[in-house]
Amino acid sequence: MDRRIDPALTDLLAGRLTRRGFAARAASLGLSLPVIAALLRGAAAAAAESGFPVTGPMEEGSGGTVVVGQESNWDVLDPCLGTGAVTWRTCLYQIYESLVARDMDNPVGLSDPVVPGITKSIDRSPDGKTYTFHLQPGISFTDGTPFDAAAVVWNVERQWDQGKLGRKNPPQFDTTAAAVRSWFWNPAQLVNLAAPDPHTVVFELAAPFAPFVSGMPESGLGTMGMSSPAVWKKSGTPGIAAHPVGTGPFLFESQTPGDQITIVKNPAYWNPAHAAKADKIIFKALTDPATRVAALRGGEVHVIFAPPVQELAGLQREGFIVTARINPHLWYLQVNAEEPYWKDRRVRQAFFMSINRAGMAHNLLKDTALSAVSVNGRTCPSWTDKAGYPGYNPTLARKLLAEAGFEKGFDTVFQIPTGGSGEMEPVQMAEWIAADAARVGIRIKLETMEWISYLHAWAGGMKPGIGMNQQSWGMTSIYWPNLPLRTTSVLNVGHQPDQRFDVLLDAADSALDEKVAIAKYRAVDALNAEEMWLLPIVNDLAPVAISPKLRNFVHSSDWWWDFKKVWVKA
Amino acid sequence: MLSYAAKRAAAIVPTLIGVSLVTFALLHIVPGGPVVAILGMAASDPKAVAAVTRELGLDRSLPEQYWIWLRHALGGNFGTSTEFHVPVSTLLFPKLAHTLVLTAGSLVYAVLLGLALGIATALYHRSLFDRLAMLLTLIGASAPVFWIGLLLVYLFAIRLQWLPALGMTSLIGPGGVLEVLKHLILPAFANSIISLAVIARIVRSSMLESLVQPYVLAARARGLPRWRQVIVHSFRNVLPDAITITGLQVGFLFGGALFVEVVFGWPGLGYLIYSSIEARDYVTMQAAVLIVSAVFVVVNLAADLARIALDPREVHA
Repeated sequence: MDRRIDPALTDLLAGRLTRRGFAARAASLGLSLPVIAALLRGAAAAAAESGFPVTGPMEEGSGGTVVVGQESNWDVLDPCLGTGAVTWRTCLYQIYESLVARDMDNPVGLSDPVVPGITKSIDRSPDGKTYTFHLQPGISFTDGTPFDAAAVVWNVERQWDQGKLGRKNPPQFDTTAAAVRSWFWNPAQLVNLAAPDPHTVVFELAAPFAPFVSGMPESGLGTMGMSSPAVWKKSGTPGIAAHPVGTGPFLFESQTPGDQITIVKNPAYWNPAHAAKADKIIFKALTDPATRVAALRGGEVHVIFAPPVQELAGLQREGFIVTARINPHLWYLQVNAEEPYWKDRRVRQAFFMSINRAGMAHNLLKDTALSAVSVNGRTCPSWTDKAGYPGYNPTLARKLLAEAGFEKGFDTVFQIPTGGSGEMEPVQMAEWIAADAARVGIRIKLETMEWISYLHAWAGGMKPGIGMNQQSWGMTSIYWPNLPLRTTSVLNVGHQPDQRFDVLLDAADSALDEKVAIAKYRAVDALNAEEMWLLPIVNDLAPVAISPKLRNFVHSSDWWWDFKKVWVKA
Repeated sequence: MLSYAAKRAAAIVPTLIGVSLVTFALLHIVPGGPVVAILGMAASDPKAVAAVTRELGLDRSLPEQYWIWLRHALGGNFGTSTEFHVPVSTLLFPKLAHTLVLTAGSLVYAVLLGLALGIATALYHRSLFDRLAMLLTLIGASAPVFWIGLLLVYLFAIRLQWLPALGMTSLIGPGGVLEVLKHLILPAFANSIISLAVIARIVRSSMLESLVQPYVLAARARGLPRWRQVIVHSFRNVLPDAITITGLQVGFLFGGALFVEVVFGWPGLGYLIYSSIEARDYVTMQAAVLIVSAVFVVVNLAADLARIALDPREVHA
């Protein structure tokens, strides 16, 4: 898209420009009528999503040092090993480029398309089993070595466990990387990988796998960030984390683990039209929310992630800008199918109907979240608001419970973390749910624990006596429902036993036509809306507070952030 | 004196081994571990968990793991951080230096202001100044450090904009010693408040006892100037108590830096310990606790030896 339209889009989204005025300005820039119409539709949808703007001030320019206050530490700066959302979300995405990229800083796109990046185009064979990636020629890693098909093969073979095929893994193969990426490579069933020429990579799968391309750029659990093989050859795996080298718009300059990372503009970026605008970006770990807010107010940082919701109105009054936007996030509950009271579908439906999700989003979360209506993320092509999830209806909930023989309700236990990645305000949200459920007779005892202890308990699946637990995740890729809803998935932590989900998911995963795949994934969603094994509660709009000095900040529509366009006005 | 010092020094090694054993045991009691922290959601795959557990050597018995760690630590090799994938020593020692800077700054506040306040309130016993100062020290000793820290940031960094809100140097400035000193003012003061209050109260009560002793009265009768009566005759005898309490406060300030480092974004050891607990980074945690314990033990020993040097009767007590 022509980025010269961005300032007009910002004005439109902020109500400073009428639709007619926007159309006139777009036409003067040479945009075609269908494009203008699409932008207007997107802007209307974006504005309807939340009361927050999607962008900060937009202005042509460049320069300055952008300081970003992050809510937690990053882990290892290796695209194969970094699992922390914060690691990938901000810092690594500027250094490494993914084999498949999304246009995340498009201010109006609701479902960002996969766009050409270091891959120029992708062909799929008619049987859906062979994907040929054509790479952009003339790209080098920032250490000067070429980015070519051999480098792609080298990177994939770092995380693809060929031992399962009875082959010997190459020296760069990393057990942890393979474990972390197993969710993608296991279902993808990659059997052969070849580089017939320097600009072509061929992936051969054992069976068609519809989410193969859209799943590649997914979050810390799969992003195909390309790192320079030369770094590994020189200094091994520790060298990659110590001196990250990719093809991205920024170069790694320095890091103090657990404190800050500095990256600088890559002057020789292969795509000058999308070169970085800022001279430097400093990522600073500020784990205490009050400290992050103080740092923004004190002028020491330009962007803070996860500002406390109670502070947002005050920050806006003081002239800071709070942006928010839909993204793949879903805050959901899973019930334990092995607990007797959940066996009756009416009880699960009643529990869902007892929760005032819209009230939670508005009153507790101050409109920084939307009531969830699908198991799919709102940016996913298979997201729909017509899956059939019932609304808040305590009267009907009580009636259903009575019909199921629970006139007097029942006792259950809800395991919940006290914090963690994407968890929003988990304890307060759990208390809200418990209070709502109590009104229809479901008495919930909360069992709270800190994040890693919680993950330990969650990952093993719910034990007897635990009624439900919670998680936050979601993907823009259509693949996601496979993870919590397939009966054989290790992420089916509630042990849901309904194999109708598997049949639908098999059909969706192997569909050769994307429209068919989307229809099947929507059918999975509809089946869940009826069976209610997974209870979608809210979608976080992930508010971010920025300094008015920051320019061209576009709130991402995915888990990751693209800082190529941002710069600081002195 | 020398034999006493040698005896005390010899006790340091078993103390540190004991500390490391307890830390090791406690870390392994807490649910979740580095494998869960590394894998995140992927920890739900038992095969992935088994592979990474094996790779990290966590499938060995606990005594074997501890012995391997101890053997390497005694050789100066603290291992590789499972969180950051860098040698722990490269993480630990720069951050130890940062925490020592913060502790030293806090100690300067605590000692100078604590002694001054303790002496002055003793001299003006039961005056309005005394009562007000004691009330403030009581509040200071009771208020949570992070709350005081946030108040200081709000007042001096946000409202008045006199001092920076966070970090050790300006993120976009040139750096240098002056920058560090400027950034040290607020966190060091916040960290010192409890110790300052404790020192002030102890010195005050010791001074009140000392000021009525015969040797002070004799000094007064000899017509010595007031400052000599107070500093040379009275305070000289309060000094052993002051040194003991200050020695204890060094350990407290060092440990208390944890909260201050989080509030002020000070890149020190406390902050590292906090993040290594969150990430179940056993290797970093073990080394960091060992270093903190070593500093604590050595400072206490130094304080005891200083006390004995000032009052040799203590060695036989």
